[in-house]
Amino acid sequence: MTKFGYVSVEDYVPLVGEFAESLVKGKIFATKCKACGKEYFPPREECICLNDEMEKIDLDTSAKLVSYTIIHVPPESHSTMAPYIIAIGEFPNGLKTMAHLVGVTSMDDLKIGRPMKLVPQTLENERIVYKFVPA
Amino acid sequence: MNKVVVASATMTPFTDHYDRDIRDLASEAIRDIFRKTEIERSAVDGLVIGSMASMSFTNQGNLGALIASENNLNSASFTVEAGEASGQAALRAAYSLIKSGMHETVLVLGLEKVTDIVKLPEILSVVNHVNMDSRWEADIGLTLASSWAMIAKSHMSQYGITREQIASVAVKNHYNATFNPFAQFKSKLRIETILRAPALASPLTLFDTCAAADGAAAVLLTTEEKAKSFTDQYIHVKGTGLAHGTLRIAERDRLYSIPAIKKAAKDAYEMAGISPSDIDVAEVHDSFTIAELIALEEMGIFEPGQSGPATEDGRTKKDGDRPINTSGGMKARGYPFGAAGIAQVVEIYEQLLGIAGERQVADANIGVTQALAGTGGTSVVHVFGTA
Repeated sequence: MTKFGYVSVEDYVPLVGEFAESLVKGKIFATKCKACGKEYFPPREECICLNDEMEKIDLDTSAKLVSYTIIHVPPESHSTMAPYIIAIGEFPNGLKTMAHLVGVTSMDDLKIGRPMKLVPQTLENERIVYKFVPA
Repeated sequence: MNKVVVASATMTPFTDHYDRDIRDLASEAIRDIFRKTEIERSAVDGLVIGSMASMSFTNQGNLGALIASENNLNSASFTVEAGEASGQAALRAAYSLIKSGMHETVLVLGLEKVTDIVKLPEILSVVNHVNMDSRWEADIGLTLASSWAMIAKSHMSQYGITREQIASVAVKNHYNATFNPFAQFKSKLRIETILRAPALASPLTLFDTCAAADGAAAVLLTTEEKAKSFTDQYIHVKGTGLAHGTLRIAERDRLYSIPAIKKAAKDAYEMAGISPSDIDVAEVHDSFTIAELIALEEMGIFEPGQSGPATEDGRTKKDGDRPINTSGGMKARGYPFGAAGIAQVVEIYEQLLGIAGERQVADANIGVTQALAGTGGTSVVHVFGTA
């Protein structure tokens, strides 16, 4: 079964497993609190309002580039990948997340505010992650 | 109420102690406290250890029992972990143990043995997973260097500070460390060297951060009444503050500010009854150059955007009007994580007692220490005074 993340050991967490299965199908979900309406991405199983009844919602994966950096000295888990770009993107619902930014072909792709899209990407060893690509 | 004082302080040299283990480093610091302080070991009824990741670095947990028994301390002993802020968090725990009346005299030991792991990427993995959100940020290959790089870019664009101003933090801290016999790097550093060094994460280079180091630092906390029975060399702990922010950096509203530092500082200042202008000397978190600039602004020592120009102008040098990191800071004194927070107190102890030798600043009556985990997960601030 496909697992989420580059190195995560939390395969037993149902939410993470479901998240990976969804990514395999090309869908990225966020979660939303049924009591107060607060949305979470990456998804959470309980809300800060202390309610734990959450529903899955489709994430609008269009995002704007907030910041990025090019990593030249990576941790052990990414030792063969450097240099790589990690970016923060902001979604239309105001939530922000961090992910690798791939498919950059010019400096224009790295302008702050540049439209991006969050997409699933399958890795080796039956693993899957999400990454930003320029939109 | 009990007045809590620091009645003794010491540290091992901070360096790559490749031939010494965590027990040996701990024992050296503890033994030095008892050699130079007229107090019986039996009078120490608490040992609080600040250590960030002894399990990951050395495969040894429960340092409290290990270190207490190896040094014949019949004291209640335990370890405090708050990421990179573990040392200062341990100090806060020890302070409250005495303030509450539960203990009278508590030894606080900051301890870290990092270089049992020799590969830098493996050390980075430990540091990242302790101080960042493991699942959503550390696992994707984010590093603290890249987090600080994004913060630096945001700060530069918000306030117009220059790359050179950021680098001037490292120049200043290396200069200060040339006067510190316990420092890891007693060599000066030039701006050009920093800017031309290999990139870590753009715009930061190798010389914007610290090297791996091992070490231990210890301070003896007790009541003023008890201290008077064995020494006149003590300083007061006047205030403590601890605050947190999100571990996930992507969640923050503004990358260029770190609210946890501001909150911790505000609480510590209020408790001590001081304002930022009263601070004569401070040791702040400078794991990366940009971290020191932001800390000084959040702590109210400079206005937002002004710490870069002030540092470039030499105002934070040991002989400037706002001396910061007279020890050389984490950057040059060295940064064995859990030990560093206590080494900050060692420096303030010496400064306020006027025994800091060539590093001595004039008329130091109020000193402050500030620690940070990651890029804002936890910050701890303490205020010390001569009275």
